[in-house]
Amino acid sequence: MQVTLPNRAYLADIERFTRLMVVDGTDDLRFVLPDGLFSVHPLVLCMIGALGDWASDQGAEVSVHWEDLNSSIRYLERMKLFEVMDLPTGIPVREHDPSGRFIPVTRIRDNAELNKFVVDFVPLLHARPEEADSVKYVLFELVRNVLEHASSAHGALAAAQVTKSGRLLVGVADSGIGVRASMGRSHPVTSDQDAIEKAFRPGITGTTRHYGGNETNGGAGLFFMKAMATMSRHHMVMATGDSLMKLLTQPRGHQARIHARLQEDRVKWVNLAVPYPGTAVGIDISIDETIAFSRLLADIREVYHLNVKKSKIEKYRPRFR
Amino acid sequence: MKVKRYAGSFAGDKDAAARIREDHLLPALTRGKRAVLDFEGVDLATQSFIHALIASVIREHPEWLGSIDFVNCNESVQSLIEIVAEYAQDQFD
Repeated sequence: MQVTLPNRAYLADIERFTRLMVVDGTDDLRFVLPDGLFSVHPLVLCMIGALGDWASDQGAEVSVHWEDLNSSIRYLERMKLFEVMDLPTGIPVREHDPSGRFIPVTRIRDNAELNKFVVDFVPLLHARPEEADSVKYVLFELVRNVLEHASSAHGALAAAQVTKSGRLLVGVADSGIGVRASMGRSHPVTSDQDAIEKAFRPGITGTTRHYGGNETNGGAGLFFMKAMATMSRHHMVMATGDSLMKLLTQPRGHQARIHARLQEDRVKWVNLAVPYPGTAVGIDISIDETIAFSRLLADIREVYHLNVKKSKIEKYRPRFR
Repeated sequence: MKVKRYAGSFAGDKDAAARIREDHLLPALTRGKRAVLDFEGVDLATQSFIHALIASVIREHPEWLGSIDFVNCNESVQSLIEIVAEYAQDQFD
Protein backbone atom coordinates (compact mmCIF):
# COMPACT_ATOMS: atom_id res chain seq x y z
CA MET A 1 0.00 0.00 0.00
CA GLN A 2 1.15 3.52 -0.71
CA VAL A 3 -0.12 6.48 1.31
CA THR A 4 0.72 9.88 -0.09
CA LEU A 5 0.15 12.93 2.05
CA PRO A 6 -1.77 15.67 0.22
CA ASN A 7 -0.77 19.32 0.54
CA ARG A 8 -3.84 19.89 2.64
CA ALA A 9 -6.39 17.63 4.35
CA TYR A 10 -8.71 18.61 7.17
CA LEU A 11 -12.04 17.12 8.14
CA ALA A 12 -13.94 19.24 5.61
CA ASP A 13 -11.86 17.78 2.79
CA ILE A 14 -10.61 14.54 4.32
CA GLU A 15 -11.21 12.81 0.99
CA ARG A 16 -8.04 14.50 -0.28
CA PHE A 17 -6.20 12.11 2.01
CA THR A 18 -8.25 8.93 1.64
CA ARG A 19 -8.08 9.22 -2.16
CA LEU A 20 -4.29 9.00 -1.93
CA MET A 21 -4.36 5.65 -0.14
CA VAL A 22 -3.74 3.17 -2.95
CA VAL A 23 -2.88 -0.49 -3.30
CA ASP A 24 0.45 -0.73 -5.09
CA GLY A 25 0.81 -4.48 -5.39
CA THR A 26 3.01 -4.97 -2.34
CA ASP A 27 2.26 -5.66 1.32
CA ASP A 28 4.66 -2.92 2.40
CA LEU A 29 3.51 0.52 3.52
CA ARG A 30 5.18 3.34 1.59
CA PHE A 31 4.47 6.70 3.20
CA VAL A 32 5.21 9.43 0.67
CA LEU A 33 5.42 13.12 1.56
CA PRO A 34 4.53 15.72 -1.07
CA ASP A 35 6.84 18.29 -2.57
CA GLY A 36 6.51 21.66 -0.91
CA LEU A 37 4.70 22.62 2.25
CA PHE A 38 1.65 20.77 3.52
CA SER A 39 -0.83 21.03 6.35
CA VAL A 40 -3.03 18.22 7.69
CA HIS A 41 -5.48 17.49 10.49
CA PRO A 42 -4.17 15.49 13.50
CA LEU A 43 -6.58 12.72 12.45
CA VAL A 44 -4.53 12.16 9.29
CA LEU A 45 -1.36 11.72 11.33
CA CYS A 46 -3.05 9.24 13.68
CA MET A 47 -4.46 7.27 10.73
CA ILE A 48 -1.02 7.00 9.13
CA GLY A 49 0.49 5.91 12.44
CA ALA A 50 -2.19 3.24 12.86
CA LEU A 51 -1.67 2.07 9.29
CA GLY A 52 1.98 1.62 10.22
CA ASP A 53 0.96 -0.53 13.18
CA TRP A 54 -1.29 -2.61 10.97
CA ALA A 55 1.40 -3.07 8.31
CA SER A 56 3.96 -4.11 10.91
CA ASP A 57 1.50 -6.71 12.22
CA GLN A 58 1.33 -8.16 8.69
CA GLY A 59 5.12 -8.48 8.68
CA ALA A 60 5.34 -5.73 6.07
CA GLU A 61 8.04 -3.09 5.81
CA VAL A 62 7.13 0.49 6.65
CA SER A 63 9.06 3.31 5.00
CA VAL A 64 8.80 7.09 4.56
CA HIS A 65 9.94 9.02 1.50
CA TRP A 66 10.53 12.70 0.73
CA GLU A 67 12.60 14.81 -1.64
CA ASP A 68 13.59 17.97 0.23
CA LEU A 69 13.40 18.56 3.96
CA ASN A 70 11.14 21.50 4.79
CA SER A 71 9.25 22.98 7.73
CA SER A 72 6.20 20.76 7.13
CA ILE A 73 8.34 17.64 7.47
CA ARG A 74 9.91 19.11 10.61
CA TYR A 75 6.36 19.57 11.87
CA LEU A 76 5.71 15.84 11.46
CA GLU A 77 8.88 15.21 13.45
CA ARG A 78 7.70 17.56 16.20
CA MET A 79 4.35 15.79 16.15
CA LYS A 80 6.33 12.58 16.76
CA LEU A 81 4.70 10.78 13.84
CA PHE A 82 7.96 9.18 12.72
CA GLU A 83 8.72 8.15 16.30
CA VAL A 84 5.43 6.28 16.79
CA MET A 85 5.99 4.61 13.40
CA ASP A 86 9.48 3.55 14.53
CA LEU A 87 11.03 5.43 11.63
CA PRO A 88 14.03 7.32 13.02
CA THR A 89 14.79 10.27 10.75
CA GLY A 90 17.48 12.19 12.61
CA ILE A 91 15.67 15.44 11.80
CA PRO A 92 16.70 18.02 14.42
CA VAL A 93 13.78 19.87 16.02
CA ARG A 94 13.43 22.40 18.80
CA GLU A 95 11.60 20.37 21.42
CA HIS A 96 10.62 23.40 23.49
CA ASP A 97 9.28 25.63 20.78
CA PRO A 98 6.71 27.72 22.67
CA SER A 99 4.53 28.40 19.65
CA GLY A 100 3.11 24.91 19.48
CA ARG A 101 -0.45 24.61 20.67
CA PHE A 102 -0.55 20.93 19.87
CA ILE A 103 -0.44 17.49 21.43
CA PRO A 104 1.95 15.21 19.50
CA VAL A 105 0.87 11.79 18.26
CA THR A 106 0.83 9.73 21.42
CA ARG A 107 0.31 6.01 21.93
CA ILE A 108 -2.02 5.05 24.78
CA ARG A 109 -2.38 1.40 25.74
CA ASP A 110 -4.39 1.36 28.95
CA ASN A 111 -6.43 3.45 31.38
CA ALA A 112 -3.40 4.41 33.45
CA GLU A 113 -1.68 5.80 30.35
CA LEU A 114 -4.92 7.53 29.38
CA ASN A 115 -5.22 9.30 32.73
CA LYS A 116 -1.57 10.32 32.56
CA PHE A 117 -1.97 11.47 28.97
CA VAL A 118 -4.83 13.80 29.82
CA VAL A 119 -3.00 15.26 32.80
CA ASP A 120 0.38 15.62 31.08
CA PHE A 121 -0.51 16.65 27.58
CA VAL A 122 -3.56 18.89 27.72
CA PRO A 123 -1.51 21.72 29.31
CA LEU A 124 0.67 21.67 26.18
CA LEU A 125 -2.20 23.35 24.37
CA HIS A 126 -1.86 26.42 26.63
CA ALA A 127 -5.62 26.38 26.81
CA ARG A 128 -7.81 28.44 29.10
CA PRO A 129 -9.79 26.42 31.66
CA GLU A 130 -13.00 26.40 29.62
CA GLU A 131 -10.99 25.27 26.61
CA ALA A 132 -9.15 22.60 28.55
CA ASP A 133 -12.43 21.01 29.68
CA SER A 134 -13.50 20.38 26.10
CA VAL A 135 -10.07 19.03 25.17
CA LYS A 136 -9.93 16.67 28.14
CA TYR A 137 -13.45 15.46 27.60
CA VAL A 138 -13.11 14.69 23.89
CA LEU A 139 -9.66 13.12 24.07
CA PHE A 140 -10.50 11.01 27.09
CA GLU A 141 -13.78 9.68 25.71
CA LEU A 142 -12.46 8.92 22.23
CA VAL A 143 -9.39 7.09 23.53
CA ARG A 144 -11.44 5.24 26.14
CA ASN A 145 -13.69 4.03 23.31
CA VAL A 146 -10.66 2.53 21.57
CA LEU A 147 -9.39 0.84 24.73
CA GLU A 148 -12.83 -0.64 25.46
CA HIS A 149 -13.98 -1.68 22.01
CA ALA A 150 -11.14 -1.87 19.46
CA SER A 151 -9.20 -4.91 20.72
CA SER A 152 -6.11 -3.17 19.41
CA ALA A 153 -2.78 -4.68 20.41
CA HIS A 154 -1.17 -1.30 19.86
CA GLY A 155 -3.74 0.74 21.80
CA ALA A 156 -4.82 4.13 20.49
CA LEU A 157 -2.93 6.91 18.77
CA ALA A 158 -4.16 10.38 19.70
CA ALA A 159 -3.15 13.89 18.66
CA ALA A 160 -4.63 17.38 18.87
CA GLN A 161 -4.04 20.91 17.74
CA VAL A 162 -5.59 24.30 18.46
CA THR A 163 -5.80 26.68 15.53
CA LYS A 164 -5.24 30.43 15.80
CA SER A 165 -8.99 30.91 15.42
CA GLY A 166 -9.63 28.84 18.53
CA ARG A 167 -10.76 25.63 16.93
CA LEU A 168 -9.73 22.37 18.56
CA LEU A 169 -8.78 19.61 16.13
CA VAL A 170 -8.66 16.13 17.62
CA GLY A 171 -7.72 12.83 16.00
CA VAL A 172 -7.74 9.30 17.43
CA ALA A 173 -7.05 6.12 15.45
CA ASP A 174 -6.32 2.46 16.04
CA SER A 175 -5.47 -0.68 14.09
CA GLY A 176 -8.00 -2.84 15.92
CA ILE A 177 -10.96 -4.91 14.81
CA GLY A 178 -13.06 -2.02 13.47
CA VAL A 179 -16.56 -0.91 14.34
CA ARG A 180 -18.30 -3.63 12.33
CA ALA A 181 -16.65 -6.47 14.24
CA SER A 182 -17.00 -4.69 17.57
CA MET A 183 -20.67 -3.83 17.11
CA GLY A 184 -21.29 -7.24 15.55
CA ARG A 185 -20.53 -8.90 18.89
CA SER A 186 -23.94 -7.80 20.15
CA HIS A 187 -25.98 -6.57 17.19
CA PRO A 188 -26.68 -7.70 13.64
CA VAL A 189 -24.57 -5.54 11.35
CA THR A 190 -24.87 -5.60 7.57
CA SER A 191 -22.05 -3.28 6.52
CA ASP A 192 -19.41 -0.87 7.78
CA GLN A 193 -21.84 2.00 7.21
CA ASP A 194 -24.55 0.20 9.18
CA ALA A 195 -22.03 -0.35 11.99
CA ILE A 196 -21.15 3.36 12.09
CA GLU A 197 -24.83 4.31 12.15
CA LYS A 198 -25.44 1.97 15.09
CA ALA A 199 -22.33 3.19 16.93
CA PHE A 200 -23.63 6.77 16.88
CA ARG A 201 -27.16 5.93 17.90
CA PRO A 202 -27.79 6.60 21.60
CA GLY A 203 -28.65 3.46 23.52
CA ILE A 204 -26.70 1.03 21.31
CA THR A 205 -23.35 -0.30 22.49
CA GLY A 206 -21.27 -3.20 21.27
CA THR A 207 -21.04 -4.53 24.81
CA THR A 208 -24.66 -5.66 25.14
CA ARG A 209 -27.66 -6.58 23.01
CA HIS A 210 -29.92 -4.45 25.18
CA TYR A 211 -30.96 -1.01 24.01
CA GLY A 212 -30.01 1.54 26.61
CA GLY A 213 -26.76 -0.29 27.33
CA ASN A 214 -25.73 -1.89 30.57
CA GLU A 215 -24.34 -0.66 33.86
CA THR A 216 -21.00 0.37 32.38
CA ASN A 217 -21.89 1.39 28.81
CA GLY A 218 -24.76 3.62 27.80
CA GLY A 219 -24.03 3.73 24.09
CA ALA A 220 -24.01 7.52 24.29
CA GLY A 221 -20.32 8.37 23.97
CA LEU A 222 -20.16 8.96 20.22
CA PHE A 223 -23.59 10.58 20.29
CA PHE A 224 -22.14 13.13 22.72
CA MET A 225 -19.14 13.74 20.46
CA LYS A 226 -21.48 14.25 17.53
CA ALA A 227 -23.59 16.63 19.59
CA MET A 228 -20.52 18.67 20.54
CA ALA A 229 -19.44 18.97 16.90
CA THR A 230 -22.99 19.82 15.87
CA MET A 231 -23.52 22.50 18.49
CA SER A 232 -20.20 24.16 17.68
CA ARG A 233 -21.01 23.87 13.94
CA HIS A 234 -17.93 21.92 12.97
CA HIS A 235 -17.14 18.59 11.33
CA MET A 236 -16.74 15.09 12.70
CA VAL A 237 -15.39 12.08 10.80
CA MET A 238 -15.34 8.35 11.43
CA ALA A 239 -13.58 5.91 9.12
CA THR A 240 -13.67 2.14 9.46
CA GLY A 241 -13.54 -0.65 6.89
CA ASP A 242 -14.81 0.61 3.56
CA SER A 243 -16.88 3.49 4.95
CA LEU A 244 -16.12 7.03 5.96
CA MET A 245 -18.79 9.18 7.61
CA LYS A 246 -18.42 12.93 7.55
CA LEU A 247 -20.81 14.96 9.69
CA LEU A 248 -21.33 18.20 7.81
CA THR A 249 -21.57 21.57 9.49
CA GLN A 250 -24.88 23.03 10.57
CA PRO A 251 -26.14 25.90 8.41
CA ARG A 252 -25.64 29.37 9.88
CA GLY A 253 -28.73 31.29 10.89
CA HIS A 254 -30.60 28.20 12.08
CA GLN A 255 -30.62 26.58 15.49
CA ALA A 256 -28.28 23.61 15.49
CA ARG A 257 -30.23 20.36 15.74
CA ILE A 258 -29.06 17.10 17.26
CA HIS A 259 -30.71 13.92 16.08
CA ALA A 260 -30.68 10.40 17.46
CA ARG A 261 -29.88 8.82 14.12
CA LEU A 262 -27.12 9.68 11.68
CA GLN A 263 -29.68 9.15 8.90
CA GLU A 264 -31.39 12.34 10.08
CA ASP A 265 -28.18 14.37 10.24
CA ARG A 266 -26.34 16.24 7.49
CA VAL A 267 -23.85 13.50 6.66
CA LYS A 268 -21.69 12.64 3.67
CA TRP A 269 -20.71 9.01 3.18
CA VAL A 270 -17.51 8.15 1.32
CA ASN A 271 -16.73 4.66 0.06
CA LEU A 272 -13.06 3.96 0.73
CA ALA A 273 -11.35 2.25 -2.20
CA VAL A 274 -8.74 0.94 0.25
CA PRO A 275 -10.53 -0.20 3.42
CA TYR A 276 -9.22 1.29 6.62
CA PRO A 277 -8.13 -1.47 9.02
CA GLY A 278 -9.33 -0.36 12.44
CA THR A 279 -11.19 2.80 13.38
CA ALA A 280 -10.36 6.48 13.09
CA VAL A 281 -12.31 9.39 14.54
CA GLY A 282 -11.68 13.08 14.06
CA ILE A 283 -13.62 15.93 15.56
CA ASP A 284 -13.41 19.72 15.49
CA ILE A 285 -15.00 21.85 18.17
CA SER A 286 -14.92 25.52 19.02
CA ILE A 287 -13.33 26.25 22.32
CA ASP A 288 -13.50 30.00 22.52
CA GLU A 289 -15.13 31.71 25.46
CA THR A 290 -18.46 32.04 23.65
CA ILE A 291 -19.11 28.31 23.93
CA ALA A 292 -18.04 27.28 27.40
CA PHE A 293 -18.15 23.57 28.05
CA SER A 294 -20.94 23.87 30.62
CA ARG A 295 -23.04 25.82 28.14
CA LEU A 296 -22.40 23.17 25.50
CA LEU A 297 -23.67 20.46 27.83
CA ALA A 298 -26.73 22.49 28.72
CA ASP A 299 -27.50 22.88 25.01
CA ILE A 300 -27.03 19.16 24.42
CA ARG A 301 -29.39 18.38 27.28
CA GLU A 302 -32.04 20.73 25.92
CA VAL A 303 -31.82 19.39 22.39
CA TYR A 304 -31.64 15.78 23.59
CA HIS A 305 -34.83 16.35 25.54
CA LEU A 306 -36.60 17.86 22.55
CA ASN A 307 -35.36 15.69 19.71
CA VAL A 308 -34.06 12.40 21.04
CA LYS A 309 -35.99 11.51 24.14
CA LYS A 310 -38.81 9.15 23.30
CA SER A 311 -40.72 9.20 26.55
CA LYS A 312 -41.85 12.74 27.28
CA ILE A 313 -43.16 11.82 30.71
CA GLU A 314 -40.87 13.14 33.39
CA LYS A 315 -40.58 10.59 36.14
CA TYR A 316 -37.95 11.21 38.80
CA ARG A 317 -35.48 14.06 38.87
CA PRO A 318 -32.07 14.32 40.55
CA ARG A 319 -31.86 16.44 43.70
CA PHE A 320 -29.05 18.99 43.84
CA ARG A 321 -28.05 20.98 46.88
CA MET B 1 -19.24 10.15 49.79
CA LYS B 2 -16.53 12.36 48.27
CA VAL B 3 -16.36 11.51 44.61
CA LYS B 4 -12.98 13.20 44.22
CA ARG B 5 -11.36 10.71 46.59
CA TYR B 6 -12.03 7.95 44.06
CA ALA B 7 -12.03 9.80 40.76
CA GLY B 8 -9.82 12.86 41.15
CA SER B 9 -10.66 16.31 39.82
CA PHE B 10 -11.31 14.91 36.35
CA ALA B 11 -13.85 12.14 36.83
CA GLY B 12 -13.51 9.95 33.78
CA ASP B 13 -12.44 6.58 35.18
CA LYS B 14 -15.43 4.24 34.92
CA ASP B 15 -13.81 1.73 37.24
CA ALA B 16 -13.76 4.40 39.94
CA ALA B 17 -17.42 5.14 39.24
CA ALA B 18 -18.28 1.46 39.58
CA ARG B 19 -16.45 1.27 42.93
CA ILE B 20 -18.44 4.22 44.26
CA ARG B 21 -21.65 2.64 43.01
CA GLU B 22 -20.97 -0.78 44.46
CA ASP B 23 -19.24 0.24 47.69
CA HIS B 24 -21.29 3.26 48.70
CA LEU B 25 -24.31 4.08 46.59
CA LEU B 26 -26.02 0.71 46.33
CA PRO B 27 -25.42 -0.38 49.95
CA ALA B 28 -26.96 2.85 51.27
CA LEU B 29 -29.95 2.80 48.96
CA THR B 30 -30.58 -0.91 49.49
CA ARG B 31 -30.81 -0.28 53.22
CA GLY B 32 -33.36 2.46 52.57
CA LYS B 33 -30.97 5.25 53.53
CA ARG B 34 -30.20 8.46 51.71
CA ALA B 35 -26.97 8.57 49.71
CA VAL B 36 -24.88 11.68 49.29
CA LEU B 37 -22.61 12.06 46.27
CA ASP B 38 -20.38 15.05 46.98
CA PHE B 39 -18.66 16.39 43.86
CA GLU B 40 -16.61 19.02 45.67
CA GLY B 41 -13.28 19.41 43.86
CA VAL B 42 -14.48 17.56 40.77
CA ASP B 43 -13.93 20.06 37.96
CA LEU B 44 -15.10 17.86 35.13
CA ALA B 45 -16.77 14.49 34.64
CA THR B 46 -17.56 12.48 31.51
CA GLN B 47 -20.92 11.11 30.48
CA SER B 48 -19.38 7.63 30.69
CA PHE B 49 -18.38 8.19 34.30
CA ILE B 50 -21.79 9.50 35.34
CA HIS B 51 -23.43 6.64 33.45
CA ALA B 52 -21.33 4.05 35.27
CA LEU B 53 -22.09 5.81 38.54
CA ILE B 54 -25.89 6.08 38.45
CA ALA B 55 -27.52 4.78 35.23
CA SER B 56 -28.09 1.18 36.29
CA VAL B 57 -29.34 2.28 39.71
CA ILE B 58 -31.90 4.61 38.15
CA ARG B 59 -32.89 2.13 35.46
CA GLU B 60 -33.62 -0.61 37.98
CA HIS B 61 -35.03 1.60 40.74
CA PRO B 62 -36.04 5.00 39.34
CA GLU B 63 -37.61 5.93 42.65
CA TRP B 64 -34.18 5.76 44.31
CA LEU B 65 -33.17 8.90 42.42
CA GLY B 66 -35.11 10.84 45.05
CA SER B 67 -32.92 9.32 47.75
CA ILE B 68 -29.63 10.52 46.24
CA ASP B 69 -28.33 13.98 47.09
CA PHE B 70 -25.94 15.35 44.48
CA VAL B 71 -23.86 17.93 46.31
CA ASN B 72 -21.42 20.63 45.16
CA CYS B 73 -21.90 19.94 41.45
CA ASN B 74 -20.64 22.57 39.04
CA GLU B 75 -22.72 23.40 35.97
CA SER B 76 -21.09 20.78 33.75
CA VAL B 77 -21.42 17.96 36.25
CA GLN B 78 -25.03 18.92 37.00
CA SER B 79 -25.89 18.92 33.29
CA LEU B 80 -24.36 15.47 32.84
CA ILE B 81 -26.24 14.07 35.84
CA GLU B 82 -29.49 15.48 34.49
CA ILE B 83 -28.88 14.02 31.05
CA VAL B 84 -27.98 10.55 32.37
CA ALA B 85 -30.88 10.59 34.85
CA GLU B 86 -33.16 11.46 31.97
CA TYR B 87 -32.02 8.84 29.48
CA ALA B 88 -31.76 6.13 32.13
CA GLN B 89 -35.54 6.45 32.48
CA ASP B 90 -36.11 6.55 28.71
CA GLN B 91 -37.76 3.90 26.66
CA PHE B 92 -35.54 3.32 23.62
CA ASP B 93 -37.24 2.32 20.40
